[in-house]
Amino acid sequence: MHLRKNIISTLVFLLALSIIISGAFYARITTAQTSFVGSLPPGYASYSGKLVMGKSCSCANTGISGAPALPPLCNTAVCFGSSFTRYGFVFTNVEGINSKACDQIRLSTSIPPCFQLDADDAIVISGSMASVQDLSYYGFTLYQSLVYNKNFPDNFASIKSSVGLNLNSANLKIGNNGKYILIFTASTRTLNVLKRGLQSIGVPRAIINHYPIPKTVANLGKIDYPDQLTIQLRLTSQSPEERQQVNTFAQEVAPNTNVIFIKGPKVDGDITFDDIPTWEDTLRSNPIEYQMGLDRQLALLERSVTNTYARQGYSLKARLTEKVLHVDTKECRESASIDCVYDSPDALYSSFPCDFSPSALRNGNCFIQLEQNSDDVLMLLGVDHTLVGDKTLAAYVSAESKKSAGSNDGTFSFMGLYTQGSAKQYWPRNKGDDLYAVKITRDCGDSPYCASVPFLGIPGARRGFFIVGRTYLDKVTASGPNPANLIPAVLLWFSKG
Amino acid sequence: MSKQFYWSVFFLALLLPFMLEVASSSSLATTDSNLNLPVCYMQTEDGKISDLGNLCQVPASNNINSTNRVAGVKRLLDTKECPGCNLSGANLANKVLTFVNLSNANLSGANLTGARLIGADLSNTNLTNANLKGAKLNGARMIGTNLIGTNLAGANLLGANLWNTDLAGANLNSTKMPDGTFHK
Repeated sequence: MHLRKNIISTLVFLLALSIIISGAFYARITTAQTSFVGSLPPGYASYSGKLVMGKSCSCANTGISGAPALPPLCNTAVCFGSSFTRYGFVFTNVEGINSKACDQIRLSTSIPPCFQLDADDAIVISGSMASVQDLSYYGFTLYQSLVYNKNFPDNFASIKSSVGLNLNSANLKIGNNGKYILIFTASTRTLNVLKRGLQSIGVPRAIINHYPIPKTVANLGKIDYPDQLTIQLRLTSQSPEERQQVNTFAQEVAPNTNVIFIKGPKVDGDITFDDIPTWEDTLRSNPIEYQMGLDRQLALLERSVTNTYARQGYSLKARLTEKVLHVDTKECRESASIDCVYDSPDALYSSFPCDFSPSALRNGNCFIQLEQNSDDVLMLLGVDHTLVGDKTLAAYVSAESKKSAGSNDGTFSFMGLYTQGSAKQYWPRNKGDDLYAVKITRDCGDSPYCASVPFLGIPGARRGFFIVGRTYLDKVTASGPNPANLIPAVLLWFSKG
Repeated sequence: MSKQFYWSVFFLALLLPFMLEVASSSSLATTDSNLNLPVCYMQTEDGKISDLGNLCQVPASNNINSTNRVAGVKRLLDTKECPGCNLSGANLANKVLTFVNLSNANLSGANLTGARLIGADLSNTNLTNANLKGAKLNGARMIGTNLIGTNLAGANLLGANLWNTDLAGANLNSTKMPDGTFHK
């Protein structure tokens, strides 16, 4: 009892201390920001913005057995993104910088706030990532939300395409207390002006980050319908402790994060798409999964799982191999009819194409149907890429189902953290520590590592969903993982009779 | 009876060139720019490909292969999937083939110069004597790929997985290797 009291007192003390320290810290940032704005040369002007956080909600109805409960449902018409990721957005209501086009669209869809920039403008974000430094993943990404296209209503096509590579938990330069400065601009001149201004008030160069923007994207003064841009912050948590850290960030850190829009003296920018590295230029070769023989282990696990279900009277209805994809943002920009759905450059997305799909969804996703009271079983088998070798291959893996149009199925979502050890139940000799085996069915009963797919509609209504996987971040390259390094997962569909 | 047969052969010989012309003028494919091979087929309105080998007087077995190749190229470009396909000799120069699945396919002698094969699955693919000069193969899975006589000059193999693949017989002049170094 006494020990418990001591622990509580210590925790209260530490909490109070951290609040005091962070209060002092933010006071310093605010002071620094004010003096920094005052040091800008003639021709530059500053306008205020802020970092707004989206609510903590889930796109999925259920998770995996044994894992903590998901946040409540988002209940938005379009629910994109992961159930484990909380989003933040840069926002301003300054006339001429804010986006009326996005505001109109936001009324009917879930498009986030946007803004528009000239090529020598900049956005400066100053804040702290101290409270979320140990998260599975965080990252800042710039997007083209809307781009000019005369064939679309209001002359804007919604492409939601990322621009360049993220600044994320692996490469964002932060100070000892998590403090960082992040500058978005298409102008080297503006960048240097801002750097000089920041350094003149004592901000160390080591925490100043630059997110380069191609000048063709910062085109406010150039065309009648300039690109409507969005800055998104992703904060991904796996455990309840991490989720609490994200909540703290949302409640205490985000409101104190300073966002300043800098208007330049109307001198053209100089950064182009050719100056910005692409994901494919960051790849590193690391065939450790193959060197460890995990492809053979996965094949043995597949055989073991198949035998297990054969003994229970099941037969294999389909076998699908995972196909991974890094989103081709150039395709979205050039076609204007393809929506990149706020892709992350740090992620590989995966799906399970099949030949029997009655619905040709993008990337050939399989349209899987489970009857309302079906005892069919889907088994998702794969390598947990986060556990292999030096554990730097990827930050996290996740899988979730998405609703097909008109379907009355619910959806599920789970993270790699809660699938660890799941292959052992099918593995007689206690191998397979690096593999996972997740069951997906209508009713899990007492099955461990199982995701139930709830039926939400009326009997006879349309069923169907498709499975999307994500593998985030090669920590060494600080970009999306290399697909060549990863052994593809397998989805087995078993049916009785 | 035999008189009727001879008349039929005569009329067929007269009409055959016109029949092919009609097929060609109504956008029915009789040659294919994606292949360097003579082909003889037509595509019906519902997308099915009919073998016209008898009309072309080409040995049926060769023609079936050509038809398969044409269908394979179409399938590859439409779906980015063609595992196990026979695409030998296909002309896929400068095509965007990112993340295609060509595992176990036969691309021997194929023209893939300048093709974008980023993230492609080329595991156990036969690329003997194929031309991949200047191709982008970043992050391609090339496990057990046959590269005997393959031209990879100026190609980019950054991050490609060449596990169980022998590069000995390939032309690697100025090739960017998986580790980012340039082969000399």
